Amino acid sequence: MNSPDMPVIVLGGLEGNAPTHLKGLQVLLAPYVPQFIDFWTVVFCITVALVSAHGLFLPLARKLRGRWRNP
Amino acid sequence: MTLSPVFRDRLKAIERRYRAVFSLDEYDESLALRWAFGALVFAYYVAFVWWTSSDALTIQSAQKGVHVCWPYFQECGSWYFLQTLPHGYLQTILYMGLFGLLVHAVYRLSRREWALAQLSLLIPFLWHFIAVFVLSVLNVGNYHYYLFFFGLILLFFPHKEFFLKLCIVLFYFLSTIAKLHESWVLGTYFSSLKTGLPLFPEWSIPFWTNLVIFMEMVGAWLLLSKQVVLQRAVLIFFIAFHLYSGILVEYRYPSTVLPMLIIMFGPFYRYSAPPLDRRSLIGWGMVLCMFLLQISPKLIPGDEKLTHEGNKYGLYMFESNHQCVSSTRRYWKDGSVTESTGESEIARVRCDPYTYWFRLKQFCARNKDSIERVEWTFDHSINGAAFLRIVEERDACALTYRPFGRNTWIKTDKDNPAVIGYPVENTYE
Repeated sequence: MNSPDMPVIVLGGLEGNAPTHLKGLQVLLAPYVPQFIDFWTVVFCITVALVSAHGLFLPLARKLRGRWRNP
Repeated sequence: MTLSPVFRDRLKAIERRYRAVFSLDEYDESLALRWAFGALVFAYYVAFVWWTSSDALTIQSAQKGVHVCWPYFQECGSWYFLQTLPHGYLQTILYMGLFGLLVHAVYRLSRREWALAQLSLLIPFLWHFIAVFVLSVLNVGNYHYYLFFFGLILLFFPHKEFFLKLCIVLFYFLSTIAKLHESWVLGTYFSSLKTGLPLFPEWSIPFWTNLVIFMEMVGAWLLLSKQVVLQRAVLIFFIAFHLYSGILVEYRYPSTVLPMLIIMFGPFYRYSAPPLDRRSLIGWGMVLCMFLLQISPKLIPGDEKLTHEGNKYGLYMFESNHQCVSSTRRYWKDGSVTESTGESEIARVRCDPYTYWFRLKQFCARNKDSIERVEWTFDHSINGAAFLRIVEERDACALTYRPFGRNTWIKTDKDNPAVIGYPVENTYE
């Protein structure tokens, strides 16, 4: 994440704290962050599509069809 | 004094019409809505408690140049009219007036006088809206966005119960757009804190952060389900989530969200079918606006967590852990030079370059006869990654800020900003 060649900047109040670094599962997952973001973006889009179809567009279509058949 | 029967009938007709326009009769049919109205009053009370003694909207804050306007209304300071102690009483008079209105609203609610209860909350609603979205960006918090939409629905909209439930679910769902970032996918927000994620071991951070993303993105919709077991299980998850997050954020956020969540999805919960009549259009319009506002930061190139451009137009809670250093060299017309440095090490202080620029701009305006220019650098680190020099300008006084687009003087991660160094673990206060 951060190169040890760079200087450490310690802001006031943070004296004595360890430099930031990846921990535990983060070390394994770090190379795949873009893929994770893509995955969640796809899940987001699918959820929007399913929820809006199930809760809004299909009921609306049914209603409009009913009105068209029985004006 | 007694009113004539004709006048009384006319008043009753006006009241009936008023109740119909704002769908206030829905309160007769729904115990949950009546409780939600009470929770709304409580949320306004909590908001105003914080503001009563704050000087953020006072004439003095504008005079000192410590106020910060929204980027879309940068002249807000000239509209300030409040004074607070030790300078005057106007602010406390205003907030005690609002307190009286909140108490009056509860009284009218207890008498089932929905129109008078709603009228009592109109001024608190308007003041809250003006204070949050017009007069200052310093009053902003995501819980204020929640409160605004809760008020909008409960006071004005038809199909209040359905849209209130949908609104709560959408807050969870839309907040995931801000979480699609390393800060939540890896959980670096929390691993960059000296104290880590509360209660859980550091190695497990990505597991918990991705579980929250899943539950907010997918699970939250089950709050609207007809299936009791699933619906209750998800409700319990979110109650636990808010109690847990309160370990970090304390009472302010849960006190706005938790009562409304429990009222709408707890024991009073009943399935509501989506309304599809003409009157529901305003509610669906609100839903569309919420989507557009949440997506708007993504339409501006660059990482909005780093540049903050458009960041606050949608939900932005816990979007990134920030540290920053703002350094200025002020060249005066008499030839002297003064230097100053400001730092922020607290994770939740957003380090928005606009805020620092806005205050520099006030400084330039106040000293326009004696200041020649202000050299400015701004170094920003997010989620424990390197400090990047995202601003390096010869004269901050000459800069302008565009509220709805790119500001090229703020470098994005794609502009190869200079790497200054790397940070140490910080704190959440």
